[in-house]
This record gives sequence, structure tokens and C-alpha cells, in this order.
Amino acid sequence: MNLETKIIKESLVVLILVSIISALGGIGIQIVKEKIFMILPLLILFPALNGMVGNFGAIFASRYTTLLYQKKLGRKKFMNKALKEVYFQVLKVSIIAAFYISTLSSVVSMIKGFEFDPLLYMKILIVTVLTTVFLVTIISLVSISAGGYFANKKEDPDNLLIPITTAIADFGTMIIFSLLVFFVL
Amino acid sequence: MYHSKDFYEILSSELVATTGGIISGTLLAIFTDKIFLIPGLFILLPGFLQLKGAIAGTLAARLGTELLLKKIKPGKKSRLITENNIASFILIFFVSLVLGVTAYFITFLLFNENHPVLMLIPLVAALLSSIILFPLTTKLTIWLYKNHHNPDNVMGPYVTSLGDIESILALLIAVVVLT
Repeated sequence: MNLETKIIKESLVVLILVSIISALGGIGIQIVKEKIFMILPLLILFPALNGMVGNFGAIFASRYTTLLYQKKLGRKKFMNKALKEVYFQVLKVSIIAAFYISTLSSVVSMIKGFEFDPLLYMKILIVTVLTTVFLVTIISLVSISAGGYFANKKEDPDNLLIPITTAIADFGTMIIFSLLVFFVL
Repeated sequence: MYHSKDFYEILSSELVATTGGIISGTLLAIFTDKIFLIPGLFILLPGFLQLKGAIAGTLAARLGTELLLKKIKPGKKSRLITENNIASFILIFFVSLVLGVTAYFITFLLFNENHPVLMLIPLVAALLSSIILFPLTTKLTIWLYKNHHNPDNVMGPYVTSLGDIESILALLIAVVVLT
């Protein structure tokens, strides 16, 4: 089997499932669309938040795969020292990035003429931080479990883990984001 | 407090990536009238944004692993690179088509809006943005490795950042052209 066929065979079904899951997650956004358009920082924040959690999934998954191929994962512990280090690095960055996007979207909104509300800013900040911390943890656990499973099946985790983690990230982000917009704002 | 080189690589690339996301959001805020032209575009949008990241991110991860395992040598032509790129183009074509069809049926069944053009928008937009994104991803991954950075830490965020901005622009172009 040549490489193109192998990649397509291993990735196509997962990617199709991921895009369908994302479209289903998009229903939540479609329902709260009017509110997102009314509260400008939310609209500006949305692609950054959506991509950010997916990025952490991609980083964790690709670092996991490299450690796996370099035979640095070990067999006994679910999360050994090397993997723990990666998890805490990603977690720390996620908190800083959540603060950054909440602040930057509020600043851009102000420049575009949207009135700054400290309470609204705090709500957006808290939920963004909690969303990222929660999802980074879930993604890490899924990456380790699924990565081990794919490696045992002799499939390349690189082709499967990133689509899976980004799907969880996107779907989770959209659901939490939609709920926040619906109930809190 | 001591932080490793990996931490700073992830942090800096993530700040770049989220800035890209904020730029995409600002573009959305500027062109809200175009987004309102097609009901159901918000169903399409998250999947479309993540699709580019997933395929280009996977491409970068595969190339990163192959570079770290010395299967690809920077500066030398490799069949592995060409085959990885071709596979990514084929994947984006089929998956964006499925995404468009799914978004159309969800919009039709749940929101009672019939816009068949919704099926074509992601396909046209994906092809438009991939022409730039995949070759750029390949070059950047090799360049980073050559310059002693770990592509695993950096490429994911850069790919999604570039992908987000490109995707929003390509999507807006596709909406304008097809409606």
C-alpha cells in the first residue's frame, strides 16, 4: 500500500465523523447566533477560542506520538514523568492564552465602538479559563488512551489522534460556549 | 520560575495563533452582512475552521515525526513529502464536500431553510485556501526543524492560525462568488 492510500484510509472516516460532529456542535452556535452578533467580544473571540483548544489537542497528540516513537513512554504508568511535563506545559499555556484572548477581544471590541463592561469581561474571562482547563485535561486523557490503543493496532496515531482531539475540543468548546451565551449573558 | 524551551515555544506560537483567531473574529465582525446572506453558515463555520487545522495539523505532525526520525532530510527532495501533500489535498476535497452536505441537511431539516449553495461553499473555500496552506505548512515544518525548533510544539498553532485567517477569507470569497 503506498503512503497516500495509507493516509487516506486511516484518516478519511475519522475526518468525516469529525466534520459531522463539528456541524452538529454548530447547531448550538446557530441557535445563539443573534446574541453572538449583539455582544461583539463574543463574535471576535469565537474563532480564537475554537482554534485554541484544538491547538492544545494537536500539541499534546503530536508530542505524545513523538514520545511513543522515541520509546520514552514506558509501559507501567498511564502518565509517566515525560508525559506529565507535557501536560503541565500545555495547561499553563492554556491559562495564559485564555486570559490573552479574553482581553484582546474586549480591546478590539472597544476600538470598534462596543462599550466596555468590567462584569461582562470577568464573565468571559472565567468561562474561557475554565473551558480551556477542563478541555485540555479531557483531551490529554483521551490522547493517552486512544494513542495506546492505535499503537497496539499498529496504526499511526499521528493520523488519528489530532482529528479526534480537535473534534473533542471543537465540540466541547461550542457546547460550553453556547451554554454560556444562553444562560449567563 | 524556570520554564523549558518547549514551554516558551508553545506559549509564543499559541499567542501568535490566538492573535490569528482574533483577526479572523474581527473579519467576521466586519463582514457580518455577508455571513447573514446564507442561513446555516454558522453550522458550517466551526467544522470548516477545524477541518483545515486537522488536515494541515496532521500533515505537519507526520512531517515532524518523519524529520525527527530522520526519514526526511531538510534540503533534500523526498517522495514522502509529495505523497503527504497529495493525500492532504484528496482528504480536504472529500471531507469539505461531506461537511457542506451535512450543513445543508441540518439547516434544511432543523431550521427549514433551503440553500443548496451551502453544499458548494466549503468545497470552493477549502480548495482556495489549501493551495496556499499545504505547501506553506510543509516548508515551515522543514524550516523550523532545520533551525533547531521542535515542529511538534510550533506547527499546530501556526497551522490553525494561518488556516483560520485563510479559511475565513476563502469562505467570504466563496460566499460572494456563489451567491
